[in-house]
Amino acid sequence: MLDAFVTSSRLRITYRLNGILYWLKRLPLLRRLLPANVYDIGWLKTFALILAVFSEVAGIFLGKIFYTALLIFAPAALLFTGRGTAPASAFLHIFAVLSLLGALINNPLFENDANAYYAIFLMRMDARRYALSNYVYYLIKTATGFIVSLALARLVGRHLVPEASVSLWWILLLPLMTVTFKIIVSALNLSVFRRSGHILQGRFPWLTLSLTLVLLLVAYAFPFLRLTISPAALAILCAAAMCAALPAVCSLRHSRDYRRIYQANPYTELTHDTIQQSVQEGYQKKLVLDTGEVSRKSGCAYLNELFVKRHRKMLTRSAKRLAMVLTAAAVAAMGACAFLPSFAESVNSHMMRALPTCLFAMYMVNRGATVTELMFYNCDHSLLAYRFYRQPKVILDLFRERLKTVVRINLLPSSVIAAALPLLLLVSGGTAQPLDYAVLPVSILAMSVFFSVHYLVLYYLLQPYTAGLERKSPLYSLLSAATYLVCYAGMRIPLESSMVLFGAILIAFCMVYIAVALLLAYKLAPKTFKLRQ
Amino acid sequence: MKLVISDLKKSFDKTEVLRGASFTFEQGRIYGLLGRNGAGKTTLFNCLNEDLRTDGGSFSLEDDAGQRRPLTCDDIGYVLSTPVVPEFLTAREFIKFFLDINRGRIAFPKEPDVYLDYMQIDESDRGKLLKDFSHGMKNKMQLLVNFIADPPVLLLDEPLTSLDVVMADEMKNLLRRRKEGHITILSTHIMELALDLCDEIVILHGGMLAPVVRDQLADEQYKDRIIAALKEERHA
Repeated sequence: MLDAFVTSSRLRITYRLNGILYWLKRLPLLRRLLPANVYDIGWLKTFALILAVFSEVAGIFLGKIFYTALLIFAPAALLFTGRGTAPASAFLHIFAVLSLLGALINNPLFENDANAYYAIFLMRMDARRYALSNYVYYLIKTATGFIVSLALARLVGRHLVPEASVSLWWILLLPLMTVTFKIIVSALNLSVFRRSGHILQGRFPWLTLSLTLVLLLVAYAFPFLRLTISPAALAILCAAAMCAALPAVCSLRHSRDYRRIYQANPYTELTHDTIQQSVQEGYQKKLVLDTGEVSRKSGCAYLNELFVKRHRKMLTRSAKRLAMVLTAAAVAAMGACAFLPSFAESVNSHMMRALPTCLFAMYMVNRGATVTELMFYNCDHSLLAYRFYRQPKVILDLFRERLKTVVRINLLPSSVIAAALPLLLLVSGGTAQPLDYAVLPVSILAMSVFFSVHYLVLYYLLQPYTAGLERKSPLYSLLSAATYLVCYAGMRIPLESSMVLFGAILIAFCMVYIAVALLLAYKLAPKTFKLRQ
Repeated sequence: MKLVISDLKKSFDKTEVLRGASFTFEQGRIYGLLGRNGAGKTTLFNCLNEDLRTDGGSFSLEDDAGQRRPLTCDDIGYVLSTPVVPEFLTAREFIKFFLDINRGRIAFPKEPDVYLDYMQIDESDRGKLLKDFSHGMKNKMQLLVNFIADPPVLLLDEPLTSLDVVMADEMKNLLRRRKEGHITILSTHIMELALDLCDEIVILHGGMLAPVVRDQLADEQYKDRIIAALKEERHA
């Protein structure tokens, strides 16, 4: 068993070590400094090994310390004061319930991850020895981590919140309980597999989610009602769990089903080389096939129309739904303004500084980033491999068609906002400046077109994706993040001056930006719109 | 017409894949490009198709009068080993779009179904989304658009490996029929295919291109000569 553990650990550490080296090689600045064969350089491997060991040790202790501090100690000490539940009782209660939840949802014995797949199926290790030795290691890690974190909680707690501090013997008993819960659940899983040929874990996500919610409720809501597991009951539960764990250990130890279990529970990444591929598959699953003639257009307009129709679930349908929700919200707000003068007054005062907020709202409503991602994954990724698709005329024709589409999609919710806000301003008490009624909708429509152009032009000028579906343009990521930050900061602009002035500046900026961006796209896109290598 | 490759260089980090590859491919012939795994066959094709920027050297088309000009988009067709097709279109729609945007370039355009008949795509499959096509069927579609475009230079990267035996045989016949007036270069690992279909074998070894002369040798002896050439140590 020890041999199996040493072999699988070496494999796991090598996998993690190479993962760290791969990650280092991808860092923007280091990428240029590090040599090509990073996996073969002694000092780098030693450095990565130190990082790997550090992350393993940190994983054992830091995770448990944060878990104990944030999910158990802090709520027990802070939430139930004045509710009649003693913090120490709440601490034990939450710990016990969360341990049960952990046994159900975080119990890796039958988890077929990359390490298990490589060891059992590629390297032909004995599945039982692999599974059991790694599970024992996992249980020891869990128990050690909890002993340290509980000891720390007691040490620090005695100074901060003495009444939340638990007796010393719980520091040993609680981790033991956590481990026994996990063993019992694993044995139950094994027995279900023997009968049904299926592993319960991960098979019923809705059931797992419901159970999780119920147990979270029991953990955190019951102490409010003074319903906690008493220390005596918990001690009995621990003893019972330990007794039940003995046959469970025997059953796990003697089972010969491990290989079959791993086979029945295949390693999911085998079907997806990368996360991006699974994203692409997800997008393709949402395609809608129309029968009969679906477009009378030709060339790029034909391609674009089919693209929009086939992706209507992700494109137009969601924009339409958003427009409907916004319409309903606007009608409700107008109704409320008509009947509740205080509400109307509040809306009117907010309306005067609506434009900076609208900047961020328009950013959120805009679907440019999603639409361009969809265009790449489901269309350009394949067609850019063909030279005929990369002809300047085709690139620009399609750009024009797509621009119309993106503007149209974004205008659906934007036009609702553009119509609703001046009406809301009017209904809520109006404004002394009649120009406000014109500036507000025009600014919103200008922003909508601005965002549509912005994302499409960024996509055409930087085309950030590779043939392997990776996004590989730091500039694109930087500009996307900057767009968010600028819009977020825009929301904070103190609007002391008039709405007309702010709106006029905004509209002028949008117009200039749109003109420059389109000019750049027409000049440069035929050269820049290609697959990254 | 000739495709002249001169001193082509391409490196990835410090690994030199093409070290000044030079060769002249002639019209009317099918060339089999052989090389060991990782020799750079796909890199060479990607450079010729301008998917990759070269580090040095050039490639151009030379007409019968000896005048050279750079390759344009219309001059080259490239069939990838892993076929990529727009998954949201049906087979018929893909061909229609292709014909639409190449209007004026294709000598005698026909209806999409005529081309699909030619490629023996079943009537029942023509209205299916390409995402539901098998690997081999996608490969057929990729070949078909390249046949319709009819570029003078056609690059095929492992073209027949995913096709069933009947389809592979038909493809071989199609390639043989269209070789007049064209330069066809196909990379393959299958020696039998190379010997059966190709007029000349060119190996890519040590980053350089070199012909393997047949000299009236029988197939078995010629195979031995190709393998010996691929085993040969090359130094920069």
